[in-house]
Amino acid sequence: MAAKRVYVLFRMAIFSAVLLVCFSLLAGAQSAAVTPNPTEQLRDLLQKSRAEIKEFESAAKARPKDAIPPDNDPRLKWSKVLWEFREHHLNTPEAATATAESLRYQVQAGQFAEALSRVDSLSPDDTAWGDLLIVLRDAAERKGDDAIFLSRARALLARTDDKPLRARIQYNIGRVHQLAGRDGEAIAAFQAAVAEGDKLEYAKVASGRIYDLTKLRIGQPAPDFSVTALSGKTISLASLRGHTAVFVYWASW
Amino acid sequence: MKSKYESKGLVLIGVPADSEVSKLREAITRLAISWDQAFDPQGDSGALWKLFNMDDLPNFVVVDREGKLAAKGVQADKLAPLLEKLIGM
Repeated sequence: MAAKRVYVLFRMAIFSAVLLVCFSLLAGAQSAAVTPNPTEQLRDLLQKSRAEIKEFESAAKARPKDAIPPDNDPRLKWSKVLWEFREHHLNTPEAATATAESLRYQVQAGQFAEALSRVDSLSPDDTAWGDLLIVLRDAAERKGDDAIFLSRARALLARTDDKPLRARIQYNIGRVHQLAGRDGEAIAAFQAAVAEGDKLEYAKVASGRIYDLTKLRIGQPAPDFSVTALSGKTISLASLRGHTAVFVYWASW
Repeated sequence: MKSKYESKGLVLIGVPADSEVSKLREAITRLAISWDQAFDPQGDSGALWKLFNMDDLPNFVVVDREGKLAAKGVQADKLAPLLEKLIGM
């Protein structure tokens, strides 16, 4: 009788042990399956944050205009989450994106001083700089103070030899001047971007802006051209003289 | 829009992003477009796209009677008031 009880207990113990092993194996497999790579992890974080912010925004629109804005802006939470992601994946392309998005959210939520002090703590070789320029421009625009962007852009120029980044900085400096109507300074900055190497991405966009600012000025003679139209007619600036010409940019699709 | 302004010396020139002339001709017939098209097989990298540094559509460039640039990148809703001013309607 006693022997049988011991036997039953023994079988139960074996059974539980087997179960336990099975469960732990399963759990292990599962945790391996749900730990995504940094790219997927970041994509997931960004998607979730955007969805929450969208929801917050539509709730904000529904509130009466004079209501006190809520202090639970999800941007602040996500800004923290993305900054932590950055710290865990330093020097990866994902960290660069996470940094820029984290600070973008902080700026959009109005925490300018906090965002700017984080920007100022970054080393000049941080891979996030390229994407941060537009965040800094956003901060400057929201505060109505170009110097917020310009001072940091110039400081960075003095500290980096990275030509693609230098072209991108100069291009953004040019845009800030252009949008403020300082055409001369804008052209100078765009030319500086081109001088970093005319094959660089931002050098190309900058030369387009120079063309805009020098050859395509409203009220100045249009650039000369001559094209053959579908009808076989030649259309040129001279042939249009005396007519108000409207060029309709379109597509059949 | 065309007939209303044509008599006042307005010229419309289509600058299609199309690079296939057959599809363009089909669309012109389907939409009954009567104005000339500056077709360029290079589509939206063609000469007139580069000339006015354009990269989006639909969009407009306006050159006045004296050959001066009157507007660039003007949106459809702003176009009519501008043209009326230029042709004195």
